[in-house]
This record gives sequence, structure tokens and C-alpha cells, in this order.
Amino acid sequence: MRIETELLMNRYKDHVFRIAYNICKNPADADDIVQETFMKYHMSKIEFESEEHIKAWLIRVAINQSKDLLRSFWHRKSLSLNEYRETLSFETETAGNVFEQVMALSPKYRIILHLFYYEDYNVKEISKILEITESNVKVRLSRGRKILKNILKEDWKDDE
Amino acid sequence: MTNRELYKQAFSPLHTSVKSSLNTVREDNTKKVFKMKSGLAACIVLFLLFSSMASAYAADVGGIRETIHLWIYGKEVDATVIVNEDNSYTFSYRDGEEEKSITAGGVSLDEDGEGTALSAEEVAWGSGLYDDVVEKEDGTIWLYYYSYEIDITDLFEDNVCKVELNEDGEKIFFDISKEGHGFPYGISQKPQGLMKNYNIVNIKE
Repeated sequence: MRIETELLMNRYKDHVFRIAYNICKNPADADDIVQETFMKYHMSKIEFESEEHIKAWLIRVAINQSKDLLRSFWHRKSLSLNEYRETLSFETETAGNVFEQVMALSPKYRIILHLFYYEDYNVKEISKILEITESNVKVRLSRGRKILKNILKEDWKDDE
Repeated sequence: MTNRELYKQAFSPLHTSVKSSLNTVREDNTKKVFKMKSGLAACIVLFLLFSSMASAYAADVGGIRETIHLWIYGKEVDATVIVNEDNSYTFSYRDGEEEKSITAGGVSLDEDGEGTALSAEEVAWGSGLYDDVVEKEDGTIWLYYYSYEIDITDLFEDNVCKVELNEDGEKIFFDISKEGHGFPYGISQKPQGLMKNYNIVNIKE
């Protein structure tokens, strides 16, 4: 199946942006990744099994594009995390703290936490998207949670 | 509230500024291809391996030491450079009252893919230690490049400012945007987008 590109952008462009920002920590670069990802989809001839399959493909492309961008020659001075945070409107102070603390984590924990908590993927699905073993996903997820718990204390529950 | 709900609340305010229009994607992709091509060509001469920055005293880890000049906000600053075992460099310098250090490294790749470690000056340039964009207290916006200090306040259009610096035939291109209270920007030896949009500034010693 295929979904018309503009419709797909409406549904998933912010998801792609959040993933790209999670890796690049630069909103301008993340915008570039959004454009590149949907252009790749538009130009591709892949027949997908379902909308979920398309979404996972978009996420994988965005992750790869973000990693490539970090290695490119073109250097950009980005807004600092604090500067970008000032442009965002969080519902609560706790939400703002969670954003800040997640973004302070190592990228290998950040992306897994994001796929788990924001995109609702399970360990097996994350392992397929990132092409790493399930045990590796579990270890990183567990360490990421532990770090957040230590920093956020009672704001971060003991649930999954 | 569960952790999942809290996490979603934390990341929901992030939104892309990209419009959901195929025409926009096509137009931007045309620009992007141009950018990627120039980026690709540049990769032949410079490939930054990594870069990290901290406002702290650099750890004295030994290695070969040398001194180079950096340009911080248009002012020449001496930096101590330590050449690390992996051919990266640690630059330590004073920025006002603050001691800063940045570690970065790179290789130049020839057409056969053979790599040669970059000089400290090349890595410093690639790491943005010769340039900056700053808004002063009076609201004016200034571009610094080596000793040059250029008022770019009136060169912004829709929060974007493109500047082509010409110094005796040598061209440097800046793509600057205004986001919140900051000015993220890119610097390149090739234009990043449509060349006609650049404001040409001729500079001389």
C-alpha cells in the first residue's frame, strides 16, 4: 500500500521531527531531516504492508539521516538546549524537566526511550528499527530509566 | 500520571516548521540536493570526526603542545593546543572570564579515500573557533569572522540572513537564522541554497 505524501506528512511530520531532534539536538537540522525523509518516501517505489509499516520505515530513515548529518562537513551553530527550551510551551514544569533530563542523556539511551515512551514501540520492534539485539535494547532502556529515576526522583514513577 | 504520559507531555510541544506541502518538499529538496552535493565535495577535504565542548579547564593529558590564534568575537585569542593520541586536538582558551576547552579532530580524504589528519587550524575552522553571530544589548546583530565585525541587523529577511563574505576573491558563505534568542548558523566554502539570495559583503584587511 501507499499513502499520499502530503497526507502522510500531516500525520507524521512532527513524529519525524521529534526523533531527528532527539538525535541532532538542533531544530534547524531536524527540519531538514523531515524534508529529506518525506522526499525519500515520495521518490521511493516501495509497496508497504500497512500504515504502521510506513511509519516504521519513516522513523528508520529519519534516524539514519540524522546520524549521517552529524557526520557531515557542514557545521552549524545550534540553539543551545536552554535557548530551544525557552521557545517551547510545556504544560507543566515537570514536563519541561523531563524534556531537559532526557536530552541530557547519552544519545544511545535517548533514542530508545523515545521510541518506547513516545512512539509506543516494544523492545522487539525497537530492536528491528535500530537493527540491534533485543537484549541490547533492554539494557539501554533499563539504564536510561534508572538515570532518569535518579535525577527526577518522585516525578519519574517505578512503573514501566 | 504514568511515565509514558509524562514523557509524551514533555515531547509534545516540539513541532517542525516544515509545511505539509509536496511543493515545499520539492522546492526544499532541490535546495537540499545542492547542499548535499557541495557537502559531499567538501567531505573530500574535511571530515570532522567528533567535537565536544565544555566550559572547564582542559585536563592536562600530555601530548604535543602548540599555540595557535583563535578569533573569539573578533578578538584574537591565544589557544593552547594539545595533540591527542588519536590525532584529535584539545583547544584551551579564555573567553572573557571563562576558560573553555574544545576537543575535535578530522581527516582529509583524497579521491582514493586515503585519510590524512587535519592541521589544528583546519580543525579549529571546522569547529567554529573563528566565527560567531551575536546580538548586542542594543538589539543589533553582528557577524564575527576572524577580525571582521559586520553589522548584519538589516540583512535579515523572514528571520533568515544569508551572507557571502568576499576577501580578495576568497568566498565564505553564512546561512544564519533567528530562532528564539539564538542564531543557529552554518558556514561553508560553497553556497548552501540559491546563490542569488546571499548578501555580498566585501571585506579587506
